[in-house]
Parts: sequence; structure tokens; C-alpha cells
Amino acid sequence: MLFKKQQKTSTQGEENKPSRPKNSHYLTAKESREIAKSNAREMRKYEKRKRVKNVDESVYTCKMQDENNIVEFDDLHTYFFTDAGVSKAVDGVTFSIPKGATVGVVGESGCGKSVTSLSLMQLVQAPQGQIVGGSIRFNMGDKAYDITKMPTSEMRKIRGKNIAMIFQEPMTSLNPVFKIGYQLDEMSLLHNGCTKEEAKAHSIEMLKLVGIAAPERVYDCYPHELSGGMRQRVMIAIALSCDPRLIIADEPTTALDVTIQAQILDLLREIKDKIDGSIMLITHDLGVIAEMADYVVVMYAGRVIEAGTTAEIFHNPLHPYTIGLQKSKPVVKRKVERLYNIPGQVPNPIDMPDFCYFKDRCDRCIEKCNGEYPHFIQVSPTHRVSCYLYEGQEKGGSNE
Amino acid sequence: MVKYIIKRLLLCVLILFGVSVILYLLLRCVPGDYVTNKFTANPNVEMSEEKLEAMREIYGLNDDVFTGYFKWLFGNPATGTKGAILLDFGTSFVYDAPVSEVIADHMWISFALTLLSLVIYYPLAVYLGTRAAVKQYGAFDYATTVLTMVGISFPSFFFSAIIVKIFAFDLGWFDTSLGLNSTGLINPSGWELFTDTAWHLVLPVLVVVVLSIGSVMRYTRTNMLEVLSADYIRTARAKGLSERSVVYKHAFKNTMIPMVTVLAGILPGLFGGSMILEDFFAIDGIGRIAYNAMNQGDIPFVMGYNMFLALLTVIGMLLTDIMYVVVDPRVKITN
Repeated sequence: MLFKKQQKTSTQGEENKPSRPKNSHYLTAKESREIAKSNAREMRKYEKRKRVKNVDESVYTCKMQDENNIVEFDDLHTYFFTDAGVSKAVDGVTFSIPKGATVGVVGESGCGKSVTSLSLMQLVQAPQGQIVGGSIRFNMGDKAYDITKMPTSEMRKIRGKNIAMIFQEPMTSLNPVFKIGYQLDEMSLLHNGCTKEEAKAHSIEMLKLVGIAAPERVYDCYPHELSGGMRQRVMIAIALSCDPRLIIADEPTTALDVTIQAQILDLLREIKDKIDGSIMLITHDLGVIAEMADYVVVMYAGRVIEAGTTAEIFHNPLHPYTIGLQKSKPVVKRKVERLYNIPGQVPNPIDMPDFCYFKDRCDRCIEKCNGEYPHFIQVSPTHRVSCYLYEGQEKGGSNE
Repeated sequence: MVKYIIKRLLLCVLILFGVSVILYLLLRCVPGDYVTNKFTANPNVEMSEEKLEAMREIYGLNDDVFTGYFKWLFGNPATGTKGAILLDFGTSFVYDAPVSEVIADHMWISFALTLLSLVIYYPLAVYLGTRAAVKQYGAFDYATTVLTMVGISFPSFFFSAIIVKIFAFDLGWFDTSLGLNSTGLINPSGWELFTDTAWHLVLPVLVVVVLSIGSVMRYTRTNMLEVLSADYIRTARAKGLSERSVVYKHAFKNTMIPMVTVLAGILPGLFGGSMILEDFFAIDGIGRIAYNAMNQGDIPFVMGYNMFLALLTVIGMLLTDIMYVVVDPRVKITN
């Protein structure tokens, strides 16, 4: 089975949260002090855990549930300890990325898709942002590591080498005061331990691989001398430099214009086949997902609400939110008076109530929706949805 | 580049001209003149009104503002000065020597004092600021912030007074009565004079360091924090670089861009001296000299000194702009 059923676990941090009346936007001085105090305590605890040196490998070694997966997110909780309270940016996310597949993660801004990927890299903005629960199992080939338990010093050996990341903004993601060549060489010097000449040769080869016409010239350029598309190619070259097993592409085409978008997507697809790796593609563009992904994970307010193969999500969307997303996508040849939009806003992720987070915006609510947050319903071996509408339609789920 | 610098220098001339007009106007607006100050303040000297008038004539204080300014700018055949336009600022009333000579004589000790302080406080401030930014909201950050803020907030005469009280009077380590030299020094050799002067510079340098370190430190910290939250720092971390190389290589080089340019801007100003400090420690630097001249209405010297300061300022600004081209690859001068 590809996707695991969601478990409900209580996590640390919740007990310490000061209670306050619902829907109040103002904090009294006392509440705000309590929040600051509990935040400081929590942040210290998690920071300390990351800083420990000489951790025995057995502490963070684990076993993959399925050897064919490259990454398994299991009930991941990543919280931000803000001045207004604990913001549950990622609240129990469970899905996995199979070897050689592209998994698309969709959702609107602020739904936790980027934080999920940053958790995988241990790059969540510290000390406010911390992984507080769950596990991320990463398949190293002969062994598997639980990234949530790894100290930062060990994590550094995985970053860039086994998991590489391509960011949304190519304009600001390259260091403006170093030449492209230096920024590329750094990767192979760091992870492959080769000489400067070897690194340069490798870097130029990488630039060629991502379709840059004059690699020697670009090698000696500063980032500001290149266009946005070129910079994103350079970013991809940096990401590919150490043959990673997984590439996280965090909205790689959002900042680019449409023709360049298509080129970059083609490049990503080409390269995935070449290096035989997996891609975790984060985007809010359903068109990109349809074109690129094998599996789709739909996130809303820090949780996965529906997941399945691309065909299932596109031809048979089940969750009202997924259906709304599909409807709000402009389609060529379909004439509508006005493009559909989902009413309302994403709820504030602080002090979420325990019922379906989409309830207030949903047009198909039923009586049961007032109850606790819906569990996943496995409608096919690969397709699961977290909505009461589909209760009793479980099919093919094995470990129900 | 050369063309740009020449253009900027020509612009500087224009700025200096404007500055000189305003300065001269202001100076002539100050009540009381040199002759009145000098001769009527002394009760032993009886001066008739005619004599005073004659003295004013000699010093050129009877001219109206415009004539006076033109004489200052283009020279006065009566006194033989060639005028500021030919870099002749005339003769100082108080020091009875050509203004440029007085400035040249006294600026080096001021320069030594400020340069010495700069060499100490600038790297220290950059280091502290960087550390504080890396450990934002940590104990180190709060401690440095509080201490440097205390340093910024002290008025220099007050802090000097405290320092002198503690180290010179109570502990008796320093002898501050005669400026930069000890009282008991008779026919010192060159080396003795040097060590003696160096020892006497310790307190003034300490004061400058404590008073100046705060602002540079805060500036570094702010810059560093901004850089550390930039996307390319996240990229550097995502590459798997160690925190040390992320901070001290990737972030530091970006932080240093404004720091280096600011430094270039400060450098010429070091010749300008510091009035209050030099006066307090009785150092015969240019600041103290100018302070005395100002008190006594020495128009040629005050004009000359202020033009000197204005020149240092415009050179500082030019250096800042040139430094940007040198250290920031994104900045290019196009004609």
C-alpha cells in the first residue's frame, strides 16, 4: 500500500499551550507572557536535541515500511512557536514518495507544503520552527534514516548529496557576490572531495547537462548577469551536482514566465530519467502537476486531505476542496461566465478546532462534519480522502 | 571609471563653493569680532575707538559680507593673500601663521588618535555584531546590545570625565595635566617621547572606542541579520555547508559590502579631529585648535578648517561610491 492511514497521536507542546477563548484576536499581557515562556522552553528543548554531537547512528537508523519508497513522511508535525501562539504549519502529514516517481504536493499558499519539504531538509526556520513529532524515513539504499531524529551535523552530509532542493525564486536563491562557478564547485568539493580542477570540469559538465549553451562563459559569471530562466538552470545544475536520490522542487517555475516554465519542466523530467531519482514537486499550479506528477498529495491547512495517483485526483476528485481547486482552474475551450473560486479563506493555523478544517468553506457539509476531524477513507489501493462524505466507500484498503 | 571620477571631482568643486558661501555668511553673522574680543576683554589695555577701528581695517573686518567673501575667495592685494581659489586661506589671527600650515601641523596627531581608535573598534565591532546576529536573542546578543547602547548614550565629555577620574586621579596610572606628555619629562630621547605619547593616547583612544563601537556593531548586526534571512543563505544550507562556512563565507561577504563602503567614507574624516575630546584631554590636535580659533572669532582659520572638513566629507562620499564598484560585483559604472 502506498499511503498509510493517518494516525491520531497527541504531541508534545499542546499541553503547554495557554488556553484562551475561541475567536479572540487579542492577547492579554498575561497570555502573551505565558506564550513567550512556553515558546522559549519548547524551542530550547528542540534546539538542544538538534545540537547534540556524536549521536550513535542507531538512534536515527530506522526501517522503511516499504523498501520501494525513497521517503516516508509518517504523521509529521512541524510547529512554529510564534508570539501569538503555536502555529501548526504541518499537523500530521503522512505520505510517501516511491523510488523513481514524481510526487506532486498541491495546496494554496500557507497550507504547509513548503514547510513539509523544509522539514525533510531540516531547514525549517529555527528556532521558531521545529519538528515536534512524527518521523521522516529516508531510504539511503542500504539503510534508512529517520531525519527527525538526526542531529544537524549528520544531516549536513545528506543535504545536497542525497537530497537536493530547487527553490522558488531563482532571482534571490544564488549568492550575488560569488561567481556561478564557485557556487557550483562548492558542491563537489564538499561532498565528493575532489580537486579544484576536477570540480571545475564537473561543474561545466553539469551546466551543459542543464542546457546552458556557453558553460565556460556562464561559469565565470555572477548571478546578476544571467536571466531568471538561466539562474533556475544553474540552481538545477547545483542540485544535480552530487547525483541526489531525491530532488525537492519547491515551486520551481512560479517566478518564471510561461515559455521558460515549459523549458524548465521539460528539463526536470529529462533529468529525472537520467539520474533515476525521485522528485517531490511542490506547486499550486495544477497544470504543472498534471504534466509532471505520478502521484498527487493535496494539502489543506497543514494536513493531507486527499492523495492518489494523478489520474485518480484529476478524473475522480473526491474531497470538496480538491473539486473546488479543479473548478477554479481555467481550462481552454471551456466557457464560463466567471471563474469559480472557493469562498472564504484558509483558517488561521493557531488553535484549530477539532473538526474538518474545510467545514466553514465547504458547500457539501453533512451532519457528521461537526464531529472530530475525519479519518482517511481508502477508496482505492492508492486513493485516500479525508472526508465524511465517502464513509462506507472503503475499497481495497488493507490495514483498516 | 576615470571619467566618472573626474566628473565627481568637478561636482565636488561646486559643492565646496556652495559650502564656503554658507559658512562665510554664518561666520559673519556671529556677534563680536576678533578685534573686540582681543582688545576690549583685557582691562589693562586702554584702546581708543579710533585705534580699534584701525585694527579692524587691518584685519579686514570692516568690509561688508560680500566684499569680505570676495577677498577671501579671490585674494586681497593689501595683505598679499592669493585667495581660497588658489588654496591660500590667509593668515590665522590667533596663531599668526598661514592657515594651511597650522592645519598641517596639527592634523597628524588627531589622525593618529582617530586612526588608532578606528583600527581597534571597527574590527571589534564587526566581530561582535556578527556574533550577536548569529546568536540573535541569545545571552551574548543581549549583553553586547546593552553594553554598546550604554557606550553610544554617553556624552563624550561625561565619559571622558569618568575615565579620567578613575584612571588618572584615583588610580594614578596616567598624568593628564599636560596633554600628551608627562610633567617630569626633561630632554627626552625620541624613544622616550614616543612611548610617553603612546601611553597618554590610551585614555582618549579608549573613550573613542567605547563611544564609537556601538553604532558600527548595531549596523553590522542589522546587516548580518538581513543577509542571514536571505534566500541564498537557505540555498547554502541546503547544499550541506557547515554553519561556519554559511555564516563566515556566504553571509559575511555580503555583510561586508556596506561595512567596507562605510569604512571608506569614514577614512578621510579621521583628519578632522574631535573638538570636545581633544579639548578635554588637552591634546594639541586640530579639533582643539579649531575650537580655540572659533571662540576667538578667527575668521580665516575657521573658514580654512571648515573648508578642510567639507573637502574631507566630499572625498569620503566619493570613496564610498568608488568602494561600491570595487566590492559589489553588481554595481557597475556605465557612461
